[in-house]
Amino acid sequence: MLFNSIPFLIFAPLFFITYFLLRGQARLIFVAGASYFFYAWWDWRFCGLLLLSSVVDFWIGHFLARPDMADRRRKMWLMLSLAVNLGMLGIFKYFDFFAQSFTAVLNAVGIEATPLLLNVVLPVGISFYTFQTLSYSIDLYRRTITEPETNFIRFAAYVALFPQLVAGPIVRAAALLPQLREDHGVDWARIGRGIELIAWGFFLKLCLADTASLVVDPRYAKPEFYNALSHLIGSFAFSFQIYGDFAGYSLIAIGLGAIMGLDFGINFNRPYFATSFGDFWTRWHISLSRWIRDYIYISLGGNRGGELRTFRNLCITMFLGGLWHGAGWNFVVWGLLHGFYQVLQRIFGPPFWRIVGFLRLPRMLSLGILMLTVFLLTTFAWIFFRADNFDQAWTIIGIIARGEGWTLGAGEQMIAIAKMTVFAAIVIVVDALGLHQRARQYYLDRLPLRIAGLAALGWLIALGGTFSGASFIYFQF
Amino acid sequence: MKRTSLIVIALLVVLVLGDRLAGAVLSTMVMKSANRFAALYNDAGPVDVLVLGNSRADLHFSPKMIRDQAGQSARNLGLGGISTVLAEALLLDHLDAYGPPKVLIIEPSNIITDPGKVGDMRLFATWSDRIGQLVRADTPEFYWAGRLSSLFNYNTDMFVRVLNDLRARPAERLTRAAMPANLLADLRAAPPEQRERLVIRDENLLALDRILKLARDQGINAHVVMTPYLPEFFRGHPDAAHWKSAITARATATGTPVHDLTGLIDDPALFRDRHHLNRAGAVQLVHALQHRGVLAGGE
Repeated sequence: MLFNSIPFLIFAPLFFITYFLLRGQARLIFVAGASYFFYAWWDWRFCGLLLLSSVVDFWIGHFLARPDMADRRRKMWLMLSLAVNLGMLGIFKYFDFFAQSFTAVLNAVGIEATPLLLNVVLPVGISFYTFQTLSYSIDLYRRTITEPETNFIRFAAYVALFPQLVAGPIVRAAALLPQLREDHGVDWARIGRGIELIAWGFFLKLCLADTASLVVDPRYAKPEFYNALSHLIGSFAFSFQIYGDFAGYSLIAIGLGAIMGLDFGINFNRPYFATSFGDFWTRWHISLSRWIRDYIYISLGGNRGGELRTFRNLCITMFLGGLWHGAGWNFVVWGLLHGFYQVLQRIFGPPFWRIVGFLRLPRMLSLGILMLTVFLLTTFAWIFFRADNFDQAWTIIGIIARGEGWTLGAGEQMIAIAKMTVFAAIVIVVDALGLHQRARQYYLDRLPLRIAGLAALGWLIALGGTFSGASFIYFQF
Repeated sequence: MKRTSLIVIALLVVLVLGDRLAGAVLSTMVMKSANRFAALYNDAGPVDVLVLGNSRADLHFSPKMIRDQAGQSARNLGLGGISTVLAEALLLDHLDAYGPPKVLIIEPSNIITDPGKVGDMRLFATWSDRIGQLVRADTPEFYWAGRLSSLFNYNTDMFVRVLNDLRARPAERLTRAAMPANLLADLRAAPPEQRERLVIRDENLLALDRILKLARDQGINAHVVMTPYLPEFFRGHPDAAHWKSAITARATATGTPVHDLTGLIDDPALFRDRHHLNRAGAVQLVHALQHRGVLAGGE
């Protein structure tokens, strides 16, 4: 069920009315049941995987939490949890990719082989909920969580919670399970804030992302039909599309959670205002960034052990981060590019600031240069992320690099480009205002302003939203 | 609870009042625009020659060219994506407002267009009950959203075009550019079975029937004009013969003259793409129609 669909418009109010009428275990049973219903709307067969992941980690959790168990045995139980969850991911998401890649290598060295493919459909949200349940097991193993969850229904509700089930935020058990133990009543202030977040999320999705997709999609469908200028516009458009799409989804999820009385944290914090790549990853898909930082980067040794080891760890972490996003070499290249950017930043960051000091450049100008550099390089990396395959990305980069044509002809989605530019400008201004604590507080403290803001979002969505029923990009991961 | 109720009421009042007020302002802007479709619903006045069809009608029949060459006033109601069913609604709206034209030119290639699709013409559902009904049948959620929010009715690319036409008279829609050589080479290299199919939709054929009968009953001098296609696309096209015969059968049943000009122009330099002539090509087409006496109102 998509948030931007009519079934969800019916589902959501019914859910919340019932949610606030129930208490305790009945409410948990309802939340879990409604979340499975929400998930089954796509394909009921994959509810089994969701249940399997929940049962396995709930059961393993009890062994991992036992204080009297030897570390070696606890590690075995953790390995079992990893095997089940990563095994599910491996079969459904990566098997065909690795089989094809392996066959390609064999063919390249002269060994004739045809790949054995499973051709299975990727279950929606599998990358998100497996990471969510894994965090529970790993935290128990590391003793970050000391008490295992004893109520299976609560644990099932935590894993399947519909607002963030299919595309995050990845909320860890330590943060969410305690909140599910409370019986949240109707809190109008929270509900109001939730509605504001949902409205801004829908604006980002329907106005910015889906309008930008009208510019992006034709260019990636037939890259050879478009010239350099057209592809540059398409590349910038995708930067805004992916931001609007994913930040929009996250805000809707966080807003729905807020109405329920749950705090999912924030998942995006004005990422295109980042002044370094390290900064970018503390602002973009924050819940995943923290996950891979805590469970992969730090496990590899983090920045302990010298510069070269840190560079290696960054590249491995970003490589895995890229692979998490999709089973394709273009995602691997995207992840590695970000790893490489972070390495470059560590090498060239200190000399840059020495030059700034030497030239006595104003701090704002220096930060502006860095912000622009991060945005441009991120936009370049997004080409690999958006492309259907590596060759397509290379075709587009080739057209831009060779400078093939700098005029826009008829039929180049001029109206969509104009609309997207207006919406992107609105988003940049609102994000910039949000950077200033005083401006944000001024807005939050004035009810008439908030009512006007919410109404203005409603008008903009009605007048400029793209109602194509487009899915969210991150659903494919 | 009382405070919350007041906030919700205030929000709804601001939302609805703002929507209606802005909707009224935008409605005035549409009516002030020189856009040809907006003008249709705002006292554009009668014309001698009326053109119906899709983008091929739009880009092949310039009202200015017709006026200059034949001395007849003309209105072109052709636009990309307009099916015969939608063209029929536009014709009926035109007849209601301004009475019958002397000549009706029907470019019939839109018999392959999705007959339920209203697309950008949704903007005019506020002014045309016929278009409103088509929207209701095609996308009921859009129809009801338009009833709920005035602003939603203006959420179309057509509205942006209408705004653009507020500033000045609409620009000439014909282009001088010729088809890029690489696209022409690709088309030549592709086998006929790979070409875009011309699949006729029955609802459009029925609408064509009704248009032709209506023209006959109202004494309008109607002409079905199959305008040129790029030869590399149309010659040898697997659907071409069936497409032509279906149109010809409908026209001859009502005694409407058919002008098969699909092969009139051979020179690729006179096309902007496989479906559309450029300005130089359109001049030749209008010359041919003038020569046949179509624009003067006779066969």
